[in-house]
Amino acid sequence: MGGPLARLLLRRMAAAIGVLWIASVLLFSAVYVLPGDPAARILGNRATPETLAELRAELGLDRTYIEQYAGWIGDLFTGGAESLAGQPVWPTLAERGANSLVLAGAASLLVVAIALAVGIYSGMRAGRPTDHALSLGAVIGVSVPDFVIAGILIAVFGLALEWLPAVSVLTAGTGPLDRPEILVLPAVALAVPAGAWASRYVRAAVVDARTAPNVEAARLAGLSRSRVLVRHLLPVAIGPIAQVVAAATVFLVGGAVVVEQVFAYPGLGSLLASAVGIKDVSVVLATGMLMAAAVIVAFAVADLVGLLTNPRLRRTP
Amino acid sequence: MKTRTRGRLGVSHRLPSGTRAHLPLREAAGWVVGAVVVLPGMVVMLLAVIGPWIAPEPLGASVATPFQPPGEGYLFGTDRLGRDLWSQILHGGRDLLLVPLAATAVTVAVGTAVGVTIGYLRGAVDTLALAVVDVLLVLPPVIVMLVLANGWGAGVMVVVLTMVLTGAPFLARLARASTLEVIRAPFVQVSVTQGDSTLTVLRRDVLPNVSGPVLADSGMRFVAALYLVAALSILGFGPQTPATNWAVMLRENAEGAGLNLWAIVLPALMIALLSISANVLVQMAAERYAR
Repeated sequence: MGGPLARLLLRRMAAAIGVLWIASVLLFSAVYVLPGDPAARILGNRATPETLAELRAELGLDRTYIEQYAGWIGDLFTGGAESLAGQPVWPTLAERGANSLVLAGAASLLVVAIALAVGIYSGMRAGRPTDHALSLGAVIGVSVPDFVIAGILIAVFGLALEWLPAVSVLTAGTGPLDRPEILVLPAVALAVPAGAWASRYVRAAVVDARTAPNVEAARLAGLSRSRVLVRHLLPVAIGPIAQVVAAATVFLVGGAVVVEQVFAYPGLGSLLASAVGIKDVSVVLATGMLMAAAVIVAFAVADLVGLLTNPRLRRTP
Repeated sequence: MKTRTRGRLGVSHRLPSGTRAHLPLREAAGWVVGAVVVLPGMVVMLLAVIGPWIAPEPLGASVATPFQPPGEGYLFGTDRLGRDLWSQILHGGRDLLLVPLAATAVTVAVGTAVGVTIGYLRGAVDTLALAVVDVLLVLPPVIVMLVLANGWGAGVMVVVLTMVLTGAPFLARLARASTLEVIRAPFVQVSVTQGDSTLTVLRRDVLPNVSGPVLADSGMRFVAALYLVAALSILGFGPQTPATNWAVMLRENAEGAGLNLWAIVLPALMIALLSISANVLVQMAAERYAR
């Protein structure tokens, strides 16, 4: 340990934690500043000034901003946060989070497949008619919202043809992996716009990498197309591609909220949507934080991939 | 926008067009795009605006049995409450066009202003603003919107604010990068040397050269704004019956897709066409502008 690479990796981790902290402050401040009193929500029309003050004290809402923020962070780590109904937040969050991770994982695989296939194919044929056709296809694909694709998939494959379930029903104690068929439609709906978007950048990365000196040299040396692609071109392009896939998780996490709701899929997204519906602040905060963390971790991993595959990035500035 | 592109000394105040953003549609066969995407898209936009005036049935009027298939007097059949589907479609497009349009305009204005300013000033302001922009870029827009809606309730303001928070950073980065490129150009130095005010330099020299990339990105911002407006409705925070829009119809009519497939396909098609054509139109305009 202690080499320049290890130091860079540590620095990148520290930066990720820093961004996570700023995100937590932003999220907490937004909920703190915006109107909405949890105590009033819980008591409803039974609220009198006395009971309201009592409950606010009990929930710690009369404390200062700093104290409340510290208390919230403490609860995050110790699992003390409770929903409006008085249930601990963590068990639900863990279960829903695991379900969402499975769906996001399936969707990510599809995104990578679409982005690499379309991006590499059209990048290798840059400027030719197939490239233009795929470019137009990508602009169209990225413009169609995921829930519109979900709606059409449900109508056609779920209700008209009845090939796949239109609603993601899970009985208690089972996970999505016990019924993998419920993953197909939501994962496809999520992956098409994100994959189309990512394919544009993969194409750009491939076009760039084609003119890299080592790739040019390999081609001039008469190596076969596929060997140039796999051994020389992709290693140059893998860093930018990892960045794009990470950025696609922003699409997936946001899209998951809506698509999970459309399919009634028991994940974090539908948990967040229903929590906002009943203004359950602690669930909104915890879910939002977990989703922001997922995106930040994805970006950190992408940076690590870049550092590990491109020695030129390791030079400390 | 009519801007003077030549300064007093007669030098061109525009960068050569080769230095502008990558434009994927430039060489795509124009008439194919026109016939397949733009023309139907323009029809959808027109219908969205004039729809409420030409709808055969009033908003929310039940006229027949629920989920009746097309024919029998109703072009696309009826929806879940037996309302004429086509009339509901005509009534439900205006918000989905106008609210995202307004949100996009505000977002583009704020993002460009911030980007040009920090790019021109550089220094500590630039560093600090860039750090904020980078944090905002990792926040998923839907999450931001839901957190804001949790406090304020769903509405136009929440959509606009979400767009400014999560969309303007894209434009700020873009405008900043273009600005850094432009201010190195000789014509800017000429303007500064002859004593033009900062505002004049920004307006005459910087903005026209930044607006190409900015315009090219605005299409994606409209797509994002339309997504947010529709997402609110899909999640159940949208307009309440009888008021409707295509996203509300998509959600409400899902149950009856087996009886009248159009009840879900038609609103889905309208949203998709609106989104695609707006994006393609803006990108084509950007490419024409860059030429």
